Amino acid sequence: MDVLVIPLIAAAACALPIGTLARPLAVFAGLLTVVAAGVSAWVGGSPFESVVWAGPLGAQLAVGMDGMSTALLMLSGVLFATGAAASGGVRSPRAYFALWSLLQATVAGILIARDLILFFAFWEALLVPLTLLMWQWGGADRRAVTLRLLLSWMSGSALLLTGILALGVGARTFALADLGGYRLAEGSQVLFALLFLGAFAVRLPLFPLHAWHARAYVTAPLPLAIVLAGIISKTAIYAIARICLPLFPRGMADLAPYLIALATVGALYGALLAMRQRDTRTFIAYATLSQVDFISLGVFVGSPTGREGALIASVSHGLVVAMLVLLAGSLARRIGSFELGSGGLASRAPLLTTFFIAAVLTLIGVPGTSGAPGDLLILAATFARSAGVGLVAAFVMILSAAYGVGLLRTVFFGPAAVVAERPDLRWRERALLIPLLALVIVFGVAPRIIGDLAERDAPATAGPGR
Amino acid sequence: MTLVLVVAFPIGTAIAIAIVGGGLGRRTLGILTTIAMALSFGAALSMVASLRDRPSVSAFVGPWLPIPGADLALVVDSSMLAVTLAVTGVAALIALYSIDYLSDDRGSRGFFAAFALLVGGTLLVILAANLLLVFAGWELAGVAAYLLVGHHRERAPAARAAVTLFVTERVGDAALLSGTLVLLSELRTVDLAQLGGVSIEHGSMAGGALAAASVLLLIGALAKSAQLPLHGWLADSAEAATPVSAVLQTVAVTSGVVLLMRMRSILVPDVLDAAAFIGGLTAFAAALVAIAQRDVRRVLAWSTISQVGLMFVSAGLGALFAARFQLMAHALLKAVLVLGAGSVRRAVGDESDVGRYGGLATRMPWTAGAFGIGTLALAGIPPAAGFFAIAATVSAAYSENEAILTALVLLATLASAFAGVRLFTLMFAAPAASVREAHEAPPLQDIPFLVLAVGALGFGAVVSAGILPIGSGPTDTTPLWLLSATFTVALAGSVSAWLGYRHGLARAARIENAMHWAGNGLGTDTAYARGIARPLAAVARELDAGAERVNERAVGSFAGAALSVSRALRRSLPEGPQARQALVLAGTLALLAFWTLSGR
Amino acid sequence: MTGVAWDGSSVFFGSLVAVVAAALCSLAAARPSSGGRRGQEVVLLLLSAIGAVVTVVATDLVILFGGLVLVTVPLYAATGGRGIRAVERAMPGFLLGASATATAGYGIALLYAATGQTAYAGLGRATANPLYLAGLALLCAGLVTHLALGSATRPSILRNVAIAAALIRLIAATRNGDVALDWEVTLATIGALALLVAGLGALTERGIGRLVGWALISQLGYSAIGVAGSAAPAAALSLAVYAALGIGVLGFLAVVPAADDPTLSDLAGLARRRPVLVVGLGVLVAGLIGIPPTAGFIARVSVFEAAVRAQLLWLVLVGTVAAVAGAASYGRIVLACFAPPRLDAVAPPRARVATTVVLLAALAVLIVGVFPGPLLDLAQSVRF
Repeated sequence: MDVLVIPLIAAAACALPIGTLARPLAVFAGLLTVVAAGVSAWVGGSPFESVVWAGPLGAQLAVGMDGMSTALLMLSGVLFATGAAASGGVRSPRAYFALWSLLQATVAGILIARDLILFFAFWEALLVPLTLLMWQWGGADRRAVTLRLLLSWMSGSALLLTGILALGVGARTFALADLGGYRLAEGSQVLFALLFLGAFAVRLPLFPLHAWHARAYVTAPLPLAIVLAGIISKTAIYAIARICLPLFPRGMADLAPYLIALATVGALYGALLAMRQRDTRTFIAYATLSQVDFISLGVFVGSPTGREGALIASVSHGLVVAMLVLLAGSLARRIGSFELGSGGLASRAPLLTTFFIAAVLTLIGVPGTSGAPGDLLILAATFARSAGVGLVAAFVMILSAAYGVGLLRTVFFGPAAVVAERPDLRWRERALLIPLLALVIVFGVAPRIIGDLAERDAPATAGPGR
Repeated sequence: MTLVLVVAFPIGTAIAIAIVGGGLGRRTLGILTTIAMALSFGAALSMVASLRDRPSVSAFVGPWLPIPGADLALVVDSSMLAVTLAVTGVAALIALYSIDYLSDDRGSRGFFAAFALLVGGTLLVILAANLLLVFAGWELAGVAAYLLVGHHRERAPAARAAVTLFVTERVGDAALLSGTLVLLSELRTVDLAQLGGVSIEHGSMAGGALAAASVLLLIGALAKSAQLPLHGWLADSAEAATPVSAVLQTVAVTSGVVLLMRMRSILVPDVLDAAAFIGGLTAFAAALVAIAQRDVRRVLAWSTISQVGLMFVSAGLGALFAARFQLMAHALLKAVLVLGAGSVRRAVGDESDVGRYGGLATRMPWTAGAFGIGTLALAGIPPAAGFFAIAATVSAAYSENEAILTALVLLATLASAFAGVRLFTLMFAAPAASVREAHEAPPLQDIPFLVLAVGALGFGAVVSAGILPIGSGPTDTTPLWLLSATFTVALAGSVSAWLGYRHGLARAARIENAMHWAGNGLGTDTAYARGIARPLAAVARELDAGAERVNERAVGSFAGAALSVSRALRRSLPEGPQARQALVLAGTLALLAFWTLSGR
Repeated sequence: MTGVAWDGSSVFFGSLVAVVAAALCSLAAARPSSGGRRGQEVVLLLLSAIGAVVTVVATDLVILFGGLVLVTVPLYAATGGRGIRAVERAMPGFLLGASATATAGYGIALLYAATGQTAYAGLGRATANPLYLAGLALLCAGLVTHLALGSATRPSILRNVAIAAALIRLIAATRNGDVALDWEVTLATIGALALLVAGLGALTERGIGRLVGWALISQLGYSAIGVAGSAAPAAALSLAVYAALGIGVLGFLAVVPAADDPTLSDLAGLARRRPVLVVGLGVLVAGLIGIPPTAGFIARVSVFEAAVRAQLLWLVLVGTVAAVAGAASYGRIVLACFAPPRLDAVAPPRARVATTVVLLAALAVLIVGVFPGPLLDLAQSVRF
């Protein structure tokens, strides 16, 4: 509960004339969320709370954290703090950080809601701050891009709401804990799974529902791109793993071949397109498309190994996207645009180069970084299901190497470039990157930290499908 | 515990240098790295005794991944200990050499960190107790190699070579990982000891999976060890700095062979035969290509590809002693050659065309002497180490009744001897092509270089005499006529090269012309560019222009359709009281009709 | 007393009418016009409110008709204005309204002819007489026509709340009668049409008044869906939410700078000049779209839940998809406020009272959205 209240308080505080304090406050709120989530995970206490919310509807204010949501909540805290810290010098800071904290609150709400109506409320409410942030602080072409994102997501939500209501009315409850014991007719599970997946797949985005995706990354202000790719897309992974899989085991099993095919194709597709990008932001967008589809593969194969891999890979991708976006921003400040220029930055900005290489290596899943264990587990789960799909998915590894080192070569290698006077990273930029890099390495060496969390699943979500 | 230290020293050094090495100079970093490698070597050496009385020693560090067998654990037996000794020892000497070779401090931090990481990754491949950890080391070594080759980032060829290297390595990574995961899904473990203990009916369902896994593992080994048809990266990596080439050609390429040796009891026999055959083919073809090269660095790179092919022959045939022997001997002799070539290049002003050398024997006597020993070892002239290793390989092929393989190995020996002696002759013995000032390299470069040369000279005899405990092999049982044949072939290659190139490149035009076809390698680079890279790029382009736009437009046209429906709707809505009245009336009638029809 | 009922529905809708009337009166009183016009408007609104209460509590067709006339006629006078221009503008609406009332009256006459009595209770005992069906159809058509008229004018909210409440009661009375009427499909169709037409029609609309009109019609569509799912509480709740949203956004229109038929571009720069007002507007528009945490979301969910209960899954799909079109349409109202101000822009009027009403409405919408329990419980009293 406190993970929801903390950002809300921060948002409310922005209504006061606090001026430049808004940014530290938002950073603090993010960090405090990490602490709060961590404390409730390790110190314990009753993780589930439930009060009647909208009684006649049957909706409850049921919140609770299991291992997966704890991990993602901590990730969200880190990313929101990082994004807030990177939002120096925005226009109308109070409004910005109020919306920012609201966004954080809605993400936290999605992750802790244990009631489908409540979940949907947060799922949908997230659109308001997100849309306004993009609309107001976005870059070129923000109107069309924002509307496209908004409408794509709402179309998905329309299906989700229908599904939730149909499910809840049939089961006479919306609480996930009670729904776990409810057996849907096997025949209708596919339909329900599709209705729910409609929303989750758009937000993920699962190929081919990614039309909103690439431009949103170009348009969104950089901090927003961090949370958009880093945590908001992960809420879709979370939702599939925590709602679709337990509630519709049969339907998900029936759909699995198609979903696996889409995820695999999406991973390949994103990787292929990432090779062609000439703009760091669209590069990150397509690499993210490839990665999140790959992560969703871990969920779709439907084994605990795959889910654990998906969680570890989600956390890793969140961290590495934050690094990449920050670095893309630093790069753009130095060469004046996000276009991939003529290269040759390595000798002028060795530190920037080092961080960029580390981020790219993490992105493509090199052992020793947090990118590897998740990818390994997902691939292992995929191979356990079908060696053929596994081989195709393993091909993504090769393509990711191609786009990763291709980007590095384009940007950093080659004859020394003519750039600004002091092109290397400033301390302010390093201060954001170093903790992220440290986390990436720590989780790479000891992925069990996240893995153990994932295994602390509360019994309430243990539906018949698990 | 000592076993952990063997791996921990290099990896810890890499991390330490990466984190806090910023303020340290080239010398400090180099000495640190050298000491770490030496410590690792020492730790490995101290384990020799403990392996006397038991077959293997293992160490468990901690859990890693929630996959059966995937823990942070190491294991070593006497044969892998021998490889470990060779890798760490050579690495220490190369590190020592590179202190003075790197001319300035800038970037030395990245160099030494990547260097230590490469050694550490390779050691993981050699010592890890399970396949996933092998994969981790495998890929770390690949990354380190990428960073090392790309170390001179301003140089476009180096950058290109780094990309080629990494993508090829990744092909190998993907294949190794896929093979591992096929094994995992079939046998439910990745632990090497357990995998080796499983016996499966060939031809059964699991047998098919095993065959697939074997093929994948072989592809991984081929990519990592630069064998046909995935050898291009090593030839390209000749662009990198000398210490980088040295460590790549002695340490990094051995990983594939090590994998084959360690997976020997798991791989299906057909795949092992294929490995041996590919190795033989590579050994011969690459040696031929080496003859045709004019860039000294490329001669050595192709020669390495050829020599590793010989290791594949032995490993594929199950002659693990021969493979190990060849691996260690080659590590020593190739280090000598690459470092020597580096000193020479440095001495003559970064000139690497063999046609422009000559007559350096008098100006750089120490270098010439050591290089000569290395050449003899490469050519397989006793008593240098190469001869014993080649003889072991030949005898392995012969004792398995593999006539083709035996022939291929002998041909490879001939070509390899020719290429090696050609290089030496052109560099040191032939008349000087252009007069240059050239000086002996600084002592810090010469010392490791000479130590290696002594090793290359004496190693074979030492092993054959059974002094070093690297296991025993069938050298003694080899028929004498086969040994003589091997010697004759090696001698023939060496002598003919000496005779042909004694008067310089210009006087050997006939040989050069005859070998001209091999100048550009085996044509795989262009084949890959045409067959894979370009089609992939074309697919990506088409997707970008096609699918991606279609997808965007589909959403756009959906929105457009909604807008035009909206406009049409607003146009068709009635204006004015009469029209509205009519609408109400129509609605009433519709309602009435519906109720009448639906009512009972 | 016969002909009227004082049950849960009467209390709920009666209170709702009172609150709406109070809000409208305060808006009217604050209107910056001169002379006695202001007082006159308040009087007309109060008259209309009396009619609205009568309509809400009526259980007899005659009393319903009386209430209908009383609630509608003063409103036309109130929306009109001074001068020949205003009269001309009000004339078509007035004529249409009068004819709708007449249609309803005609229907009442036919119903009397068919059943021989005017009490609602008698409607349930009707025989399958064609006259009965025709009468009911005409009555409903008349009432529904009123609902669709002048939906962007403030007094219409009062009228619509009353008529919709009357319809809910009327439908409940005929629903379980001897003549089985397929109210479910009828209302579902009407609701779906309202949502679709409003959502689509608003997509390309640029006039704020008409845009708001469409939005409010779609809110009434939600109520229809609730009634279709035979969930009077859900319908009542969504009607209350409609009232709050309507008062809020129509109150906001009073603050828009351009006097006559403002368009979206007239809103440019408002976010900078009246940030608090725009925050309130944002909440209201979120409510219109049905985004949490607003009452609009609760209303949407509860009527859709009722529809699912009545096995009208298709209706929910249409409704949720139409909501997407709605989002694209109504969302523009808020987003337009963030555009950079035009150079020739007139400063928006101060309009303290209007701002207060907007903010109060937004606050109500927000509070109900976050703590929906009390209102949901209250709405439970609307049962038949």
